[in-house]
Amino acid sequence: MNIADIINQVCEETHVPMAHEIFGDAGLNVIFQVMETVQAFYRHVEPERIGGQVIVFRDVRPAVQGAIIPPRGPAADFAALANQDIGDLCFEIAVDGRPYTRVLGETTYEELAETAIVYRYYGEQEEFLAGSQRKPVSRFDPCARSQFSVPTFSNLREALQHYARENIRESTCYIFRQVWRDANRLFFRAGPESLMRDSLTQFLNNRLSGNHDVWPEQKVNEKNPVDIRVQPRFQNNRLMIIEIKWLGDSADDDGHITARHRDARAQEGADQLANYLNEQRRSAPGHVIQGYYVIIDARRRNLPKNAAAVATISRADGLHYESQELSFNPAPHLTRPDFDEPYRMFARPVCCD
Amino acid sequence: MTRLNPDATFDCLFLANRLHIQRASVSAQEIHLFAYLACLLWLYRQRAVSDWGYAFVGTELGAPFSRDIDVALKELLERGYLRKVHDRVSPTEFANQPLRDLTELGMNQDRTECLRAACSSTAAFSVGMVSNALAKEPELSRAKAIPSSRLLLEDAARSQLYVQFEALRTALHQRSNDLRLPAVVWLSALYRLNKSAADET
Repeated sequence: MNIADIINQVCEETHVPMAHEIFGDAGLNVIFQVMETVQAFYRHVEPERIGGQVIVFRDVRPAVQGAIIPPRGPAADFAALANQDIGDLCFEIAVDGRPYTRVLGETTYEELAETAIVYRYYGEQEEFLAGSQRKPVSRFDPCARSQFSVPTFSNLREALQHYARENIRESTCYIFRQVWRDANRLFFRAGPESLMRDSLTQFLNNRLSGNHDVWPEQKVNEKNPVDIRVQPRFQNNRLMIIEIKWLGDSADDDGHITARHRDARAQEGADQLANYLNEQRRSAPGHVIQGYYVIIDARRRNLPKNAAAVATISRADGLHYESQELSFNPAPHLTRPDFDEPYRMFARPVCCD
Repeated sequence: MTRLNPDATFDCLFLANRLHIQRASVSAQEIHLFAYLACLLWLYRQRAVSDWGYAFVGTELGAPFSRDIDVALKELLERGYLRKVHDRVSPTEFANQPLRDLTELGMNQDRTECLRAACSSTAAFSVGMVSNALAKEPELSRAKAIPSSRLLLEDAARSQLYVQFEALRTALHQRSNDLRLPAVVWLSALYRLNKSAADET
């Protein structure tokens, strides 16, 4: 298809030409106002937290025609919605250019569109209505849930999935490689946490390019369990916090086992992160905070009780836990929207067969 | 001593102010990007490229860069009209009055229309999307294909661009005179072109 065909297609299929076609220059002015308001809304509200439908509209008729209800009450404060679970919402952009919360009542959004540009978000879909026409919004970024929201949480999800595959599975990250006490990757060194944190911090700094600030936290106590904070530079009310825990065995230089972490440790980390998210929601209610729980899994079956000797492991024992998912009770990722599904990252050993 | 280009200086002030209102802060690269988009809209209006007042080169990464914008940004930072925080610039209070005065000048009306329309495209697209779409514009896509910086919008190279603008004018025939409409339609078309090329490879 050549560019002329594509231009014609855009004119037929998209919302900005539609607004002009239906309402002329007034429609064009209004659709830009609606898009800017929708962007402002998503700067404070994460689309994935929306459970209902969101409507933003503005009447295209001049105010002097008297059909527009003057604003009543204060303008909507999008920041106050930041950490709430969102159901149905409706905002009208009034003659002063500010959004006001409206209750639609018996009026349908199709009826509103007779004299207004209407934006509607529902079930991860977006559309604009003008007069009797409606156009879905093309989404240029497949990660984004809205064309008007730069994806932030999903970028980090994608990065963590890559990290598990590319860096942890075969210990290819040169920082992460240092966590092992032995060449066969059976035992961690004692206290491998800071190396794990440095490895993931470096990866995220590289992967999330210049759009995010990534910084490691120094753990001060168990009440502040967060290992890494990630903040998008363009949306300063979004905060992503990452907690890292490891499973497996660690040993000191003499070969004595210093820690043996199994399922209970994984649960402990989930509980800590959930409590920390609760605290953050209380102390920073204007922030949209999402918790990400990374579990480095190096469990091995039939390990020797002491790591002093040069140990080897069969594939059956070394990979025994690779496909064994962890179960959580309570499971915060199943009950709250601000807690992602835990990222279990299995670190394979070098097997002798 | 490097000469300060008055058009580039006005554009820096205007774009930093406008994008700052929309998005809190702006990077130097984004100033170059939106100045270039405004310059292309100037050509869409069938005005001479030489009247824009300064030139752009395409970097090997496919991004537009103007030396005059670069010099103006540094000078505006030096003189306190802009401030820089973490590689991003925003206007200071000292920029308000000169920007108002310059915007009201009759000689700046035509370029202000282009600058405004360029900035308005961020209502429909993120900056990254504008950048990706523009990378498919004939001049920048040629710059990306050749691994060295080269001057953009030279006489011989503009023909393909004019073909696109003619198609755009035909499609929007008898529609609005508002430059925001062709800006958004063209960027959407470039983005689709970019995507279909990526899907084919």
